[in-house]
Amino acid sequence: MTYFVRGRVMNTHIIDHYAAQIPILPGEYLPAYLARLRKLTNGVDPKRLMSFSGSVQLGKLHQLFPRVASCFAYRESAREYSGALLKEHLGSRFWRGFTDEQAYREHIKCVKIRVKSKRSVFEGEEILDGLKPMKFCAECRVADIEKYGAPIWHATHQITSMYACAEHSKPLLSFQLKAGETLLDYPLINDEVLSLSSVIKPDELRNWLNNQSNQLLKISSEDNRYRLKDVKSSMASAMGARENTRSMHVDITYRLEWRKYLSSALTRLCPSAQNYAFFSGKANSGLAQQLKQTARVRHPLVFLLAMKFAEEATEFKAS
Amino acid sequence: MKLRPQKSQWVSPTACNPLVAKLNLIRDKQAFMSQVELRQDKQFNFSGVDARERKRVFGSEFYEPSDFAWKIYEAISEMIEFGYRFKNITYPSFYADMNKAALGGQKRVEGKIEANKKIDMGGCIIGPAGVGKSETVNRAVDMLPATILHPASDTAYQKPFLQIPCIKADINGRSTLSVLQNLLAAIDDKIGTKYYEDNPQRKGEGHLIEALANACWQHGIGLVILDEGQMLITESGKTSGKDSPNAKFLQRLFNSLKVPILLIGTPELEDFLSCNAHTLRRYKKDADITLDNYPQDSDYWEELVITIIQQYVFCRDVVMSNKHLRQIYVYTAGNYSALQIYCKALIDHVEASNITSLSEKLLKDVYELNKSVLNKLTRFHNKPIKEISLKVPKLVSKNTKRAVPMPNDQSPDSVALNQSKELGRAAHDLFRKG
Repeated sequence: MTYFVRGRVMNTHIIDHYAAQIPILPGEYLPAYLARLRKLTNGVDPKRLMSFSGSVQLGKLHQLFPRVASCFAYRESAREYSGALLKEHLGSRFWRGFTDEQAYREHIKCVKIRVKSKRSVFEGEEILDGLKPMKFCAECRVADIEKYGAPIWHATHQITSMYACAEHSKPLLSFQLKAGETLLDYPLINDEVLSLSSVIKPDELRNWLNNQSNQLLKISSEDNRYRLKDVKSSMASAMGARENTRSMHVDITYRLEWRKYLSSALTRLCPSAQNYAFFSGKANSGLAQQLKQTARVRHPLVFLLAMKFAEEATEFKAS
Repeated sequence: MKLRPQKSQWVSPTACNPLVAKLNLIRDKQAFMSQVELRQDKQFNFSGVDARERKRVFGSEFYEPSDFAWKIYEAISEMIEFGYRFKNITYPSFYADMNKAALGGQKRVEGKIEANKKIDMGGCIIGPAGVGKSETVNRAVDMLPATILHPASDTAYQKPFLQIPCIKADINGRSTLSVLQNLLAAIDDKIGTKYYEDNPQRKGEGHLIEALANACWQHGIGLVILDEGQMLITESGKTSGKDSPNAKFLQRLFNSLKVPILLIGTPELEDFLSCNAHTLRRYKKDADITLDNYPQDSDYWEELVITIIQQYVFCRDVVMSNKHLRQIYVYTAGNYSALQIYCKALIDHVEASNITSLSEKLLKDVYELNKSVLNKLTRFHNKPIKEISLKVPKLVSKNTKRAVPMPNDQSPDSVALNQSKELGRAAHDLFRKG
C-alpha cells in the first residue's frame, strides 16, 4: 500500500526530479524554462540544481544552442528524447541542418565531458548578439496566462530570423536584456518586459526571412541538410561559381557586392547595434564559404541572407 | 405546464482526481479499526517471553484503536480530500496554479503565493499530555501512502509526478524558523531532497515560508501536521494576538501554504489560539477534536487494562475485579501514557518478585515505586484529571501559564489583598497619629 520512492531522488540527479514535478510547458524556450525552474525551486540550492551543467548561470543566450541547453537535453536520463526536446523547445530544426552531424556530435561530446569546446557551434554568434533579442507575441502572452498561469517565452519566437508569430500572424515584440541581466531576471514575460518591449516592424527582408525560417522549421533536420546542399548548388551555378577540392571560385563582383549587402542587411535588421562592416569582412562570412559544400558550419542567418542576395543578384529562386 | 430543465448530475471534483484516488482512503469504520489495530497478543502467546521483550512488544507493537482514532482518521482524510479539491494533476490548471502561485503577477519574480483558489482549511486536535493524540495521528497517517509516484499518463504534461500526501513535524523549539525547517526536513525524509540543508535559518522566515510553499505545491502535499503546538507559546507568556509573534506566524503559515494544516497540542494550545479570533477561527474551522483522559466507566479503557494485564503482565487469564480496575484508574487517571508506564513497571515487578496473582497490594506497591512519575502525569495525587477539573476553580487549573494582568477595577479583591489593604490603612493611621 505504501509507495515509498525515495530512491527516485537519491539515485538520479535532482534536476530529473524537478523536471518531472515542474514540467516544461508546450513550446517553451528551454533556457527560459530552466530560469523558471530555478525561480520555482527557490528552496533548492542553485549550485545543486544546476550542477548538471557545471555552472549556476544560464550562460550566453545569444547562442542558438546554448551550453546549458545541451547539458540539459543530453543528460543521461533524457537521452531518449533529447532530439524531440531540442526540436520543440530550442527550434533545433532551424539550425541543426546547417551543422555537419559529426561536428554537432563532437560539440555534444565536449559539452558532456565538461571540456571547453568552441564557445559556439556557429561562427560569429557573439557578434550577432544584437540580432537575437528575446522576442514574444502579445497575443500568445495573453493566451499563455490563461492556459499556463504564466506568460512563457516561446522557442519558435526566439529563432534569430523569426519576426512574426506563426500562430497569430502578428509581428513579434522584442525585448533586449540590459548589461548584467540574464534570463534569470525575466523567466517569464512579466509586465516589466511588456512595458520595455517594442514591436518589430515588418519589412520585405524580414518577411522573406520569416518565410524561410518557417520553411526550415517544417522539415526535419536531416532533410534540411539535403535541401541546403541543393540550394548551395543552385546558388553556385546561378553565380557561375566553380568548386574544386580545395577552394571555391566566385566572381569578384559578387563577392564585393555580398560584403556590402551583408553589412547593410545586418544593420537594417538591428539598427541600434554596432556596425557590421567588420563582421562582413571576416573570411568565414565570405560568399565562397556560404556556397562551399564542404564548409562545416554556417550561421543560419548569414546563409539565409546569402540566399536572399543570390535571389536579388542572380536568377536563383529560393523556393 | 412548463417543464423544468433537466439538471445534469453533480460530480465531485475529487471523483477523478488521481491525487485522491491513490490515497486509498478507508470509508468504513470497522475496516479502519481492523487495519490500524496492532495486537501481537492475538497471534502469539507471551507466557515464556522475558519481561524486557514483553515490554518492548507492548510499548511499540501494541495499539488498540479507540473511537477517537476513527474520528481523527476521518478528520485527516476529509481535510486531505478537500485540500485536493482544486488540485488535479490531470488538468493543466494544476501546473498553471503552481506557476501562478510562485511567479504570478509580479514585476520581479520573487516567489510569492498568489493562487486564485484559496484552500483555507485548518483544524486542531487538543488533549492532555499522554492521552495518545500523537500516537493516534501517527497511526492514521501511517494508513496513507508515504509517497505516491503517479505515472506519466496520469498527468497533464505526460511527466511522472511524485506526490507526498502528508507531512508531519514537531514544534520542538520556540523559534518559528525551526518549525519551518522541520517541515522542510519532513519533505526531505520522504523523498530524499535536501531542503533542510539548502535552507539554513539565516535565510529568514520569509524565504523559508516561500520555499516551503513552493515545495508543497510542487509535491502536491495534501496536509501539514504540526505536533506539540503548545510550544508556540512564547517564553514571555504573551499570548495576545497583537503581541504574540507566534500567533502571527501561524496565521501567515495558514495564508501562505494553501495546504490544510492540522495542529496538535495540549489544552494550553487552545488558550493560545483563542487569544486571536482570526487564528482561532482558522484552526478550529474544519476539524476540532478535543480529547480527554478516559473516564472510569469507559468500556474501551476497561478492555485496554484487562488486555494488558492478562496478555502482557501475567500472560494468562487472571481475574480482575472492579476494585482492581478502579485502583488502576486512580493511579493512572485514565491517561494512556500513565497506563503504559504503570504496566511496564508492573511487568518488571511481577517478573522480579515471581508473583502469579493480581492483588491490591501488588497494584499499590507498583504505584508507590513509580508515583513520582505517575503523579506528574496525572497532575493530582490519587485523583484523575477529569474529576479534579470539575472541582478546581478555573484560575487554579490554568496555573501553568503566567496570569494575564487585569485592570484594578476589574480584579476581585482576594483575602490576602484585603488583609494587606487593612494593614496599610492601620500603618497610615499610626503615621498620622505620630
